[in-house]
Amino acid sequence: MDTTTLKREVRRAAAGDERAAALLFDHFHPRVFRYALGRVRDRAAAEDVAAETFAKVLGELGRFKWRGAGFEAWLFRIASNLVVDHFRKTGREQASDDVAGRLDATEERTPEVAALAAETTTELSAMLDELAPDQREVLLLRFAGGLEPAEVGAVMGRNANAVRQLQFRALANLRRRMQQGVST
Amino acid sequence: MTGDIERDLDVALTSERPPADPDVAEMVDVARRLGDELAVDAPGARRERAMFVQGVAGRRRRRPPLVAIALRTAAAGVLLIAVAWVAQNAAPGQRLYPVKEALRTIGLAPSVSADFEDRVRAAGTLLEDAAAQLPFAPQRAERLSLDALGELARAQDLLDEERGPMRAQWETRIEQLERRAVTLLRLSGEEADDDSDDDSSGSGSDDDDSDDDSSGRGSDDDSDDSDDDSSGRGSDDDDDSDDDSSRRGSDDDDSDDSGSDDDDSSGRGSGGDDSDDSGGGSDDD
Repeated sequence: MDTTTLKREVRRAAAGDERAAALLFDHFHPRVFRYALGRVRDRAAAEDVAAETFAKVLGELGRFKWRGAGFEAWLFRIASNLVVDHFRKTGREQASDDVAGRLDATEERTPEVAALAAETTTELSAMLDELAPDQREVLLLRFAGGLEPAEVGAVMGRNANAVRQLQFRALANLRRRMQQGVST
Repeated sequence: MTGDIERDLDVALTSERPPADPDVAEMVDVARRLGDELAVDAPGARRERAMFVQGVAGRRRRRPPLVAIALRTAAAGVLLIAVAWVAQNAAPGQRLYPVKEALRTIGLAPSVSADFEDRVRAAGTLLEDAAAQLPFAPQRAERLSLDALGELARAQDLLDEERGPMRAQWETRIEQLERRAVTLLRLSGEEADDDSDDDSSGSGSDDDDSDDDSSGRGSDDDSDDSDDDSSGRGSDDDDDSDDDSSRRGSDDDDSDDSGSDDDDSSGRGSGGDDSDDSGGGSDDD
């Protein structure tokens, strides 16, 4: 959906157009769900985050003003905040960040960390969990949420160049871990 | 600053062409694998979808249509104008008087003095018209005098709102105009009686009665003259009332001769002036 179309549909939905609302939901709900799943690693929780995101969008749509990175950045910022709320309630991400922090510090995967990370996820997802939180966030917003670097920057409060640097480092780290995984 | 390789990677991620740099190519491959892994089937979320769509539609229903807003605004405007209209005549102590004062404050209602002047001016104009109509259409003169009294009553109401030095002066002006209105009312009544008397009989004895009437009017007019003099309209009224009484005197003389209504009208015309010195003078005497 190009920016012009998106602007029009958002304006129509804000005015109460059901068709535009359905279009926005169908276009963005899968992306929000995938991003949330990438963050919370739990399907039910990701569904909850996605549903709450659209409930919040419904309540705030009348006040939404298109500026800067636009609707997508606004939508994923809501989703990101809801993920943070989810972790605040469950206290889970702290443990995950601890793992990532230890990895960032050593840049090496100890068997303990690898076992911890791979407990509930696939290999690649486990490697994603091992990344620093901002690197992981960039990759999830880019490849699960489908956002452009400028939009990712708007969600994270950084500029597009900083996002490209984070993206590069994140992918380089993943590649290295994949190579390590193959070699071990 | 973003390095070239970081920018190249970003471009390669959205490009169909494989990147020249093998490092970048490897990272693009990692990104594609990651993308594939993250592209899980999303739940249908039919219930959430329905709730979202209905919620958006509910937003439209909650917002009143422009026509309804316009109608409500127009109705409020009409109500406001109606209240302002009714409040125009509110006297102190009445429920709508604060509305009147508020309208005055914002300049939507005339000030007390302007309102008073309007009323008094209207009353004066009505009385002038009544005096002019008196010889020809006494019933119309009577109605005009009554209208003038109505205006004076409204001006009287405004006295309660004037607490300044103008109050005494206003009272005097109202009093003068009221006296003049009462006089015109009485004269118009008498004039109407004369007309009906003349119409009904035309006999000598009736004419005698009218003789008495006219002489009575002459003396009344004298007293009215003094009132009218004080109101500043003395000269006109003097002329009018003198003419009236003198004309009546001469009319009566005429009617003695002929006993016809036609003489009445001729007597009020130029002939009346001729008889001023004789008939009118003798009546007054």
